[in-house]
Amino acid sequence: MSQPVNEEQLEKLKKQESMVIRRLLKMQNNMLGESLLHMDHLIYLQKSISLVSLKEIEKILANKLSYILFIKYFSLFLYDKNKRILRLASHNHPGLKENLFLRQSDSEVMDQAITLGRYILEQDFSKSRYFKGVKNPLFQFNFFISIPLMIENEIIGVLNLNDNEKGYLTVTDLDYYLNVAEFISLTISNAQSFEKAERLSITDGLTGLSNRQYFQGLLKNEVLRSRRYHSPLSLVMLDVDHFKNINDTYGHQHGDDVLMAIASILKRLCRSQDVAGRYGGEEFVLILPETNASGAWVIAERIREKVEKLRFKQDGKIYSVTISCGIAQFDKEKMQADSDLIGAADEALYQAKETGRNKTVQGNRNAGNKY
Amino acid sequence: MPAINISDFLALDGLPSLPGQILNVLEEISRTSAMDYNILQKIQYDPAIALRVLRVANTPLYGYAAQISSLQQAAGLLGPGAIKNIVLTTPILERYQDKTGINTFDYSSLWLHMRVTAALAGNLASLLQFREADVCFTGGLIHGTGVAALASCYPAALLEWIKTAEREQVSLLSVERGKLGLTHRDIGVRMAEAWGFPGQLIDMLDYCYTSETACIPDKLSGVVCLARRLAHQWGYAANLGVDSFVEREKLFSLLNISEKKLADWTPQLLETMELAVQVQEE
Repeated sequence: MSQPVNEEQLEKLKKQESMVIRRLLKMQNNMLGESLLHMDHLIYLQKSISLVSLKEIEKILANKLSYILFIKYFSLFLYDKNKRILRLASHNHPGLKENLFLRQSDSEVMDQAITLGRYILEQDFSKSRYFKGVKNPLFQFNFFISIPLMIENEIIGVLNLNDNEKGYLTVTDLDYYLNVAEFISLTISNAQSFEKAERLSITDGLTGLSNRQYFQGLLKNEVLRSRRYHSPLSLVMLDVDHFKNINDTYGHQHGDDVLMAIASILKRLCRSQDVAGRYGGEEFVLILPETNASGAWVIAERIREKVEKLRFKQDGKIYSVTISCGIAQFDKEKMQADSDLIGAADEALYQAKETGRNKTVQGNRNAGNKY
Repeated sequence: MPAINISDFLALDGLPSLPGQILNVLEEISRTSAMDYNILQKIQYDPAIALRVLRVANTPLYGYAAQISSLQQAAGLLGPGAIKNIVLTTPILERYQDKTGINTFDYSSLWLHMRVTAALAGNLASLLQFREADVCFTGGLIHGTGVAALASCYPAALLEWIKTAEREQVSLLSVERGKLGLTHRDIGVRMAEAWGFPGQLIDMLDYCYTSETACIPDKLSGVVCLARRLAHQWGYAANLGVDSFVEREKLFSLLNISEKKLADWTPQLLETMELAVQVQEE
């Protein structure tokens, strides 16, 4: 019920207890300090990477993550689950090549982390089944950990960590890494969602080309640029001939296939500075900066010929489609705005349709033209 | 003697633990590599830490309010980081405040009794093939919540009541009721309610200090009662003076066991008990 009351014994007990308490306080102090440091780093990370640009996030992680995690080396791969490809997004390994892409099966450890949906931890990678016998002079200590980056059970990447000053990994370290990984996952996922939303807002859902709204904004800018720098600018409008017949004969689904095939040709034949867009229905446009009408003619004809050679198969029948193209070059003397350029190309397209289809017609060719 | 009120206990956010006990757990946590880590092994023999962990796990924050009945469930829910912080912020029990030493309560015996009861309850549950052996273990570990709270807050008063109970050969519960108007059993139950513990743990706290003739309706309380009784019988009493236990036959009947069966299990139970006793304590 009560402990010895002998004064000497009591003094001894008190001394023992005070020594234990001193050790305990010291340990509590250290551990609380470590916890506060972790919290500070986590808040700093949150402030640093609360961004919507994935590229910026990747850059900041490359510079700061090793300090935030008290780790020497890290690599962060983003995972494309459809293609089963891992892209090196951020790292601080000297000599590791940029733009590295790996198949999921190329890295057994990351493959395991993705497949199992949990971290893989080995105290000595050279003895682990993943890297048996492998020596890396870069690492002073051989532990490694691969943490899958997950959002609602979907894996979006893998974070690999190697080596630290201490030379070992405690459960507190591991817990901290997992918390940081969760936060990075969320930030990356948000940035990816933002980029996707942004992409969708400027892209035509069926063809993947720029949508009309986005295209019009771009054209307006290009017209201003052309006016300012006196650089040539051309516009091509393309329309699928007798598209209604395709829809009526083979169905709308097949009509969509035709539009997608033409869009694919446009993407392929466009140069890096050109912009292809879906203007509406079966009508497409091409903005060709730094290109005069004769250059635009060559491109439009190349596209028209490619489309003509396409073969479609439906219900055992093979058929082809043609397009008509109208081109116009921006004329700063006669045109005020982008709508004038669209009008000129549209007029040329109308002429192409009127004069037999499957051809390219150049608008505003001479002074007698409306424009 | 200070005025003792139930609100003093209900205001507590946990109980303090022995400094050596906290130090052991923290040292284990900080030196253990992440490879061979089992947080449960580190905390499962300290009643004060267990109570704090259960209290946090049963808050609505984690989505399982009043549903976490065992340390195993709590460890799975909270994760090592949260548990480390709970251990880190466990207050230190100051044992030698009384300069004369006369009123120094024997906390070590109480802690040891609760630890042994936990080990026996967990083992009994396994032998009885109860699915909730982890809950029985935890029940055994925290069954003395009320006494531990009294011992932490009012050690001198508790010692005096224990002496009175011994002198007058009456149970500690009846002395407490006479002096305080409530008992350590009531205190334990009310604290568990205030901390949002699940009903089965609250019932266990209520029934395990019930009178000899009372009927215990649930098996968790029955297992903890039997474990408490065995701990007492095998030399690890809580040293609370005259203690009262539910009749053995009633427990046997509730748990559907016989004297012979218990005798068969005794070597294994004793082994478990010794392991719990050997858990390092300063």
